[in-house]
Amino acid sequence: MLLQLVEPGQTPLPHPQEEDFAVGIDLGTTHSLLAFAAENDIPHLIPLQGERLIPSAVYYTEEGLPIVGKNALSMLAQDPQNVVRSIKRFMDHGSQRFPLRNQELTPVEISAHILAYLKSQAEIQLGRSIHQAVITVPAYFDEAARTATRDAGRLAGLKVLRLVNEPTAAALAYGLEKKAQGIYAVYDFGGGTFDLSLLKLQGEVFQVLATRGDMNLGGDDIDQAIYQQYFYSLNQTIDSKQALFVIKMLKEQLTLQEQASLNIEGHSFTLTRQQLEEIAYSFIERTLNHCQKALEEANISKENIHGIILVGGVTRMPFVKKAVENFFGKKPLDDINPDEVVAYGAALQARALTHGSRNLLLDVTPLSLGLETFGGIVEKIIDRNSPLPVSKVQEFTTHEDGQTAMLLHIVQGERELAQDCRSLARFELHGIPPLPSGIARIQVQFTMDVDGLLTVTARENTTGISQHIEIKPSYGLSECDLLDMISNSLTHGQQDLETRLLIEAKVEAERIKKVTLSALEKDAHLLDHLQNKLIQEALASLNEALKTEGRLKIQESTEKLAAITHPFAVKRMTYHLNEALKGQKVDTFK
Amino acid sequence: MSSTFFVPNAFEKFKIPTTLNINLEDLEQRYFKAQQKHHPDRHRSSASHQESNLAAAAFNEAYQILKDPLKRAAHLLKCLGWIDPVENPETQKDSSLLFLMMELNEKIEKATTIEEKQSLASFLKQEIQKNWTDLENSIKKNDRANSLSLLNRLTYLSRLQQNLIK
Repeated sequence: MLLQLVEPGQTPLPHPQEEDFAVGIDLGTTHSLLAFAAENDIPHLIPLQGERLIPSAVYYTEEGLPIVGKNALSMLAQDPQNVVRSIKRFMDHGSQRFPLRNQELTPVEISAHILAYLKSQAEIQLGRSIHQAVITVPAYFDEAARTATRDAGRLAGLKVLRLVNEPTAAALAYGLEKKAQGIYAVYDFGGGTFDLSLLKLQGEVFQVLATRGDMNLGGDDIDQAIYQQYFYSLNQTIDSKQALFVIKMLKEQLTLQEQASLNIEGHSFTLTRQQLEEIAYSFIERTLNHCQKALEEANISKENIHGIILVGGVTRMPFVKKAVENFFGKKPLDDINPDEVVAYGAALQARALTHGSRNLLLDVTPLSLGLETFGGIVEKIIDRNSPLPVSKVQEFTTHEDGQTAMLLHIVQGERELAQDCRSLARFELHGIPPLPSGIARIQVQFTMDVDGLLTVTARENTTGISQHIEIKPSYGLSECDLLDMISNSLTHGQQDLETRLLIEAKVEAERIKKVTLSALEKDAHLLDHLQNKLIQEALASLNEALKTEGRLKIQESTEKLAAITHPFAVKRMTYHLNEALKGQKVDTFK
Repeated sequence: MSSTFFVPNAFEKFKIPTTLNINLEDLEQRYFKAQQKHHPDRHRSSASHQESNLAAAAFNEAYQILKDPLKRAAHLLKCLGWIDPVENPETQKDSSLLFLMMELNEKIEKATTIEEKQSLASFLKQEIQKNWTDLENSIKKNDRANSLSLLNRLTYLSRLQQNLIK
């Protein structure tokens, strides 16, 4: 009989009792995706309600219940005040509160609603419960935003196995699927953030050499600039949230067209590719500036880069692709969909962590960690681009006789003065034995784990007394807040579920109804008598179903109405397209 | 406030000879091997997760020291017991070094054309190479004072090199 020899403490496979199923989640600014990898290490995206990308939008109903995804976006037209988009941009302000209906919600809670939706939908699709996930974050996310992301996962009932940096996840997907080897630059331009990571892919090791980025540089900023430049002065009657969404849709159309127009609520919006490029130019310049600096800092020349991996929705703009190509002197890779590649990487890492793997991600911390000293000057403890995990010991002493406490202020950032850096936490060290000044030796150990999260421990060395550390975070939610939220969501969880499903069904029913009625109003002449009658009947039965408050009945009637109106929709599209083409020269449509 | 080294001897950590010049490719392979074994992702479900955090962090620190020539040189002198932790090497008086630094700083500030910058860069590269060889010999001869002074020169020269790139 053969015995497998395993070194103590190093099990290649997790403990048998441990749950061995975990998914990968890309919790994006604009879209969120959920994927999982099966035995053959091939990641699959799980389409939820038939969509590959779930809009990271949440609508809060009158009852205060969250509706996530395209149904939330559809409420932008009627009730923009209660729709939240791009909440990820507030993750570094974890405890900020947004008034929505009768409640005040934090970014952590709103993100948790998105995650909970992804989780529940995927559970239905896969027919099994999901308790564990790998969630991706921008490489340049600071400690506060990472903690907030992990807390959101917990709140959604997920054990967050690991927070993986988005560019690293993308490199993992390319490395495993396309067998990429050598030095790669990952250019990740998403809805809210920009990251540039340089990685060395060698055999089974994915080593991040350097990373740079901007937590507030994304497609949303381009939309905002377009709004300020072209739309704000034109039309202030339309809600800015609606306008920004319209701009986003126009921008997406411009990937393939030279000009895009949309008609919303009687307002006409037009944007040309040239206008878009003029505005986007300065933002792209900023990203290339980061690329240049990252290469200099890592001491890598462009010629040594084997490939450039494109990640994020903004990289679908032909203008961006071209700019990246010109900068690196190489055609960038986008053979794995830039919107999906991060989720694949997350799924692969989730698989690796639950089933064991030879592949190893060695990531770095994007920002330096320091302590405030006299005069507000920052003394660096951990340099940025240090490989994780990292642990540093700093020794302190007292300045006054009999001093028993000490205040430490931890900051994150590259600036010289503490006030210009991000304040992470103020720690009070208590219980220092009263000794003459300069005698006590207090060793404080700062450890940043592979998720980029910090823990601090302290001990006094002359007496060996173990010390009590009081942590007063100047950011995020306290553990107490979080436990409160979790227990609240557990108590309300069960009853919430059925109510939420009913509300979702009603929202969808109302949406289809509204679309149908407005189509009938404009184009009823396209229908013959029988078709018209069928649609009217379906509408009536949906109205009946809505009165009953029976979820299944409402869903059934909605589906029926959608099916019956489908040929009508096709007819309308053909009709309007023909109308639009009338009198136009063919060469305009090249 | 002073920072203590988490790793007392980075060379021993990777089981390589305590010398100034090392094989960087070999070091990288040893580093990857150590991380394959100790990285916290390898210890997800075991009770040793926190220990693996510290073990992996120690290898990370040792690797960061050894792969950077200047950090490695300073660490080597420390391991040899030649650097007194109380005595700050930068305060040592080296008038010839001071003079050279002032001259070079002035040249860097005045350098505007690419040619001027390139010639300065190649001069600095040569100086660093020369001092490095001197340091190697000085360590072989067990010359503590000269080694410390050479390390000091190398520190300043690399700083100038970085300024020039910026």
